[in-house]
Amino acid sequence: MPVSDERLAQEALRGDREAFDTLVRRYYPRVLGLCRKLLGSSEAAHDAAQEALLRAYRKLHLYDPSRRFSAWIMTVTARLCVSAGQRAQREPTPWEEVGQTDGGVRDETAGPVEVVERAEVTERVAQAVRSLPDLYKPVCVLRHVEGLSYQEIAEATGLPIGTVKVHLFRAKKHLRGQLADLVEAELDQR
Amino acid sequence: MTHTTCEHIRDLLPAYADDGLGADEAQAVRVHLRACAACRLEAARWAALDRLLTEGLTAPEPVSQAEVEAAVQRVHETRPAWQAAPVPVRFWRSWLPAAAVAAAAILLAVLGSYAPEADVARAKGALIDEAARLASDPRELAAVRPGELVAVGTEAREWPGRLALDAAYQWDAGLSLAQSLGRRVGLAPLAVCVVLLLAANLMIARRVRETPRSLQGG
Repeated sequence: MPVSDERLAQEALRGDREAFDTLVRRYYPRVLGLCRKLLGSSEAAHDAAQEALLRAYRKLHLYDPSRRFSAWIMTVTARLCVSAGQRAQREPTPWEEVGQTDGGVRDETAGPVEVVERAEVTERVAQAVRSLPDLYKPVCVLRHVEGLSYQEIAEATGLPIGTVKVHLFRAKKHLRGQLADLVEAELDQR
Repeated sequence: MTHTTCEHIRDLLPAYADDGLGADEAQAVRVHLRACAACRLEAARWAALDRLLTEGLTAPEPVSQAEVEAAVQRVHETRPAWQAAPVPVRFWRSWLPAAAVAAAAILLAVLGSYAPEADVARAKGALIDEAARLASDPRELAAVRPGELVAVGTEAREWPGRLALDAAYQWDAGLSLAQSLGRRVGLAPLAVCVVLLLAANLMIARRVRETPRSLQGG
């Protein structure tokens, strides 16, 4: 049975380098994926992913092992992406560039057309999330990537639960406006 | 359904889709949705948005094993040595041993002033033995005389030894003060101090053991 993330984090804290390496191996794809979605540019995403892992290492003593490690490291990553995005102040990445660098979503059960359509939807969603005010990005990620409840998001971010509700409400209003056509298409499929 | 009711319910729908409402509000929404087709459609739109967001943000990223290993390597190269990381000691553990040592030293200075000289010498010996037991190089410490504790304490390379000797120095300073006062009484007050000091030493030693070895010393 594999060692839990929380246990590995504790062992890393005691000086076990291998334990932290294992966490890096487990989380790099997810961290990189989130960075790509929040930053768009592949190069910036790689830099941010590496910085997120380093930051997680440096702040490991602040992690509370009674909470989910995945929620903690994704919070660290989302906040770092917000800062990186503010620093860069760059234009959204064109779809063509993302197509070349991300390679789309690999799904062996889907046909080529479906793969392209899904990749387009994924990129539209990512663009919409990137267009959110920075304040709302971390809570949006924790809700929809980690599937945390409002209470869990409040605990992970240190925000009052009322603030979490307001941030998510406004984020979803914004996203609904950005993705109205996809929402209708999604409804039609059902 | 009145317009006001629908408007109120629609404000709740984003959180309803997230299962983020309290029991009463969620029940009110459920009741309303049973009777209002327009709000049901609106609720379905919020649910569709949630599906899009979850699917869009959690879509797997094609990352090869080689890329993952390269990331591990980069983290190794970029991060500073492990000793640059913060020492993960809980707040209460960081001040409690120091407070215990200080309390023991003060108690010693007050009560130890009544101790006979022979008892003082015996207590010093016991403390040095304990310090040596905790330290990394007992042979070196065994050769140390009480008056030299300070110098050796600052030169000790290993944290357990240094901390134990720091604690021992508190004891030594307390005894010197006691002797200078020139008072004489029984061994009982000293025994209390010994217990307190040893407890503090053990707590310090445990704290050191819990600290990553690579973060200690040097």
